[in-house]
Amino acid sequence: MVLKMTSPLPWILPLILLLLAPAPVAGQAQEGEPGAPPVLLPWEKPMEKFQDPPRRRRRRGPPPTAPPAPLPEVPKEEEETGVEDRYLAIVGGFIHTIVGPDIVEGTVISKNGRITDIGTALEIPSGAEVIDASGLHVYPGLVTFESRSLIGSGQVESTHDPWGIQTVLGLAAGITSVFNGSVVGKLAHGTLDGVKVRAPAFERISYSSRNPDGRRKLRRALERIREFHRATERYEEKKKTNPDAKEPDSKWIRGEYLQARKLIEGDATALVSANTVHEIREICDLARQFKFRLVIRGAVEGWIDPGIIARSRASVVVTPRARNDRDVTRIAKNGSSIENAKILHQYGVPVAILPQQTRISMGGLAGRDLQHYTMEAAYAVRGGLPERAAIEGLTIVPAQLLGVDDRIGSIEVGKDADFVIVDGDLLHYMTMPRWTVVNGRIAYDKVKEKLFDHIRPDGDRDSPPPADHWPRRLGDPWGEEAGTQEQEKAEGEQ
Amino acid sequence: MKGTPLSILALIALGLIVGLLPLPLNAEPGGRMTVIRAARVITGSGEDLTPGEIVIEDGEIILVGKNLDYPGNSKVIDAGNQTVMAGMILPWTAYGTSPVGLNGVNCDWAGNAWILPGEVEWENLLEMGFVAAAYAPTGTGFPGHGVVVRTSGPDDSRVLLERAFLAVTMTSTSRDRRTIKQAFDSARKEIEKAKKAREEWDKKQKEEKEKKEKKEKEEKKEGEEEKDAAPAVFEPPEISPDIAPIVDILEKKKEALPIVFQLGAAGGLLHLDQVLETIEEVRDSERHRSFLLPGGRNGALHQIVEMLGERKATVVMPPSVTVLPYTIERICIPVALSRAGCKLVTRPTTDSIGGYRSLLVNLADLVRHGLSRAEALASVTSNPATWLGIDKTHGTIEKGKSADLVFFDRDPLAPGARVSRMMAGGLTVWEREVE
Repeated sequence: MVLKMTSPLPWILPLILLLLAPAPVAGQAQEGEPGAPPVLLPWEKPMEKFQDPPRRRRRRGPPPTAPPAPLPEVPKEEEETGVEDRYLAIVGGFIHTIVGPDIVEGTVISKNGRITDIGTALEIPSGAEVIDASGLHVYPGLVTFESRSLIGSGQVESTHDPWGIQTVLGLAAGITSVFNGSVVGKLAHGTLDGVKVRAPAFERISYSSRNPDGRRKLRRALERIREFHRATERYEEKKKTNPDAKEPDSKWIRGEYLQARKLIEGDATALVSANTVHEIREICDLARQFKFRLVIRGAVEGWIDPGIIARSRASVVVTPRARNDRDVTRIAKNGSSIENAKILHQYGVPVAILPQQTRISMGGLAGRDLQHYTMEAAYAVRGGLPERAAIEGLTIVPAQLLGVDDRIGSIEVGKDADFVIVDGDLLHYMTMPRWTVVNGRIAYDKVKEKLFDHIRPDGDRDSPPPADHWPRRLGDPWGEEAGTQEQEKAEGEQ
Repeated sequence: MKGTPLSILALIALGLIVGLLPLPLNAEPGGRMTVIRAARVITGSGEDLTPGEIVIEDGEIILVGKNLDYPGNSKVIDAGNQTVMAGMILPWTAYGTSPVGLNGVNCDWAGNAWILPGEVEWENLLEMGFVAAAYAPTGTGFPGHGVVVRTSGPDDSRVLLERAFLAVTMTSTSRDRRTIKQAFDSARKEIEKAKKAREEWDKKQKEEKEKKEKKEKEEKKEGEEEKDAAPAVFEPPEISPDIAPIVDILEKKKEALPIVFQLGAAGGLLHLDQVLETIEEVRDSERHRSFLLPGGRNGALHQIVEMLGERKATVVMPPSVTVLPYTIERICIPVALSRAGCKLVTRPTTDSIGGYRSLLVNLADLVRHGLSRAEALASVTSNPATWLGIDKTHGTIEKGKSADLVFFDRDPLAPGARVSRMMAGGLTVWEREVE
């Protein structure tokens, strides 16, 4: 080497100088310097920076604003003194908390529709409604990723029929919360209180190979938004030195561009229906490239390339019983697999479960609609999915995908008191809900509801019919019971 | 025979004059009383009379009882083995019209009654025993007001009550919630407007008065006197007639129409309660507690029976026996409602001759399901009369009421009962031809 260091001085001097130098002035800061603020990628920056500039021209509708981020709703406590507190205690059941350990012969106490205490041998508050669940299993109320008929459409609080037959059928299947396409709502029975949970931020996108034009449009929109973010970034940089810098125009961001912007900035989750492995790969690539959150509906061939779904951090909503026969003329793997849910779960993909028909109808696909929601999960278990994961796919996973897991989906203190109390293993085909509780109110009681009267709670076909059911109270004008009401009335008056 | 054509002409002229003489319509000429004797008189206000007599003068019932004294020249109608009851009232119909429905707020619209005179085959309604019918509007939101008409008499005096009730629908909850809220909001705005105008007017008056007083003082000094101009009358700003009935309701005026809420399903009641939470003028008023309920497979109406009973609501519904949804459990909502404390007004299952014909059979069905006989008959006579506000003249056989009666060939709730004669204002307006 020609250069030979004889002493360390020439090296140390600049170092000392560097240390003594004044702190770097803003604007001169360079990347990588410890004092400079970290340069954020456009989608990592806070939302405020990308607000639309004030518009001068008249517009047709209200300005497009991002939906407000769901805030954790703080339960109102000790606010209304006039209304008596409503307590519900479920005693003696096997409690499946989903997120925590199971509790044998446990007690769950809820107050005004929120769970306040979970444990064993808890003191039951006076005046509480008590459900004796001994010998029964307590699960959180089931959540479905989609259903448009069990509750009202659109804004549920003004469209829900609290005594609709679909609601009752849904409750009889153990379902307490559904997504109706616009909002997540509760199957509130006999009341309109607490029907709405929240509106999830979804952007439905189509990225199917059958629609190349739509694909091109979406990709172009995403690229233009990315361009816009870069331009904004450049503008921010420029503004530091040049106050006259021109802000990039954002008037054109509407329609599909607004959708793309929401996706890239993380304000919305992309909801896409993709079944073939080709479609799944395409959309997952897109999600990885533009870094947006993704929920794949269907994913029948997800088992073929689960890695790409996992790497793109997408979630899936699968129908374990869906069958696509294998095309034998193709060499590549294709078709459905009963192990789909299991394989995806093994790769760490959140798996929510949904039956083929997302409603309940007597003339529909018997056994494949929401009336048999749990059976769908049982099929996934048959394909190897752990039972626990399958039950999660009916409760907490759909709640997470819908962005409402702070309120529903598991039995935890502070969450909504939504339970389904069943007479056996949730996924067993002979298991029936005995009670369904929504917002701390008994919404379905199998003994009182006539729907499945022919199936007795204890499985005994010859057990006597329930004694206190409303129409029977009317009595038989010619039978022995005639006049008993009047008698009772008279006795009551005495 | 010279005089013959003249005398014939005179005769014809006389005949014409006599024919055109304006006779008192609702009275037997010559001040004669009419007496009806029947094997059974269902008074609707007390015990049935078996046998019973009804004395009518000038179209009005003046006496009801047994073995009554009446002048010898009275016209006696011996109904023999028949049953006499107060004429039935059809509480909600569009019979004989082609229903036109309006959507939105149209309180001024007379519904389907605007086309009535001459269009309807009134004979059919008489044959079914109806002396009055309430023509209701069809449509959504505030589709209009009900009109009560007589089923007999000349067309120009057919309308008995021009405004009986205000219909409000709650059939599509989200739409109707919005409509009701907006209607009451705009009515409130109208009231505000009127209030403001009044204040301004008062202010102006005051100013003018002061001015005048000043002037007067000055004038007095001059020793001259001037007469005061007539005090100006305050003219409130004009309110659209479509919304005026709602303003009346909010101002709790005496002439405000009672609202009938038309529910599409049981859940509508909860939605209605939510909307009315902010409209205490309606929520707290006893007047606005009538509901038109659907018949047939009416879903979960059994769930709101007690809620309606607690409010002592008036329910207008078909007398149908139904089943609980998706089960074979039979239930009878009208009976349950009546037991819970509601006032029951029954309307035929379908708004057609067939429906009217089976009304009595369906009522008998209700009796089989536990409704009292008196209540069943009241649900087609006195209850609708009270509900429509024509109970001063209709609904029961009592002293002072109009002699609008229906004669049945046997007990009205017995199988095969048929109307044999209809009387309106003391005159027989329809009689079954003897076969």
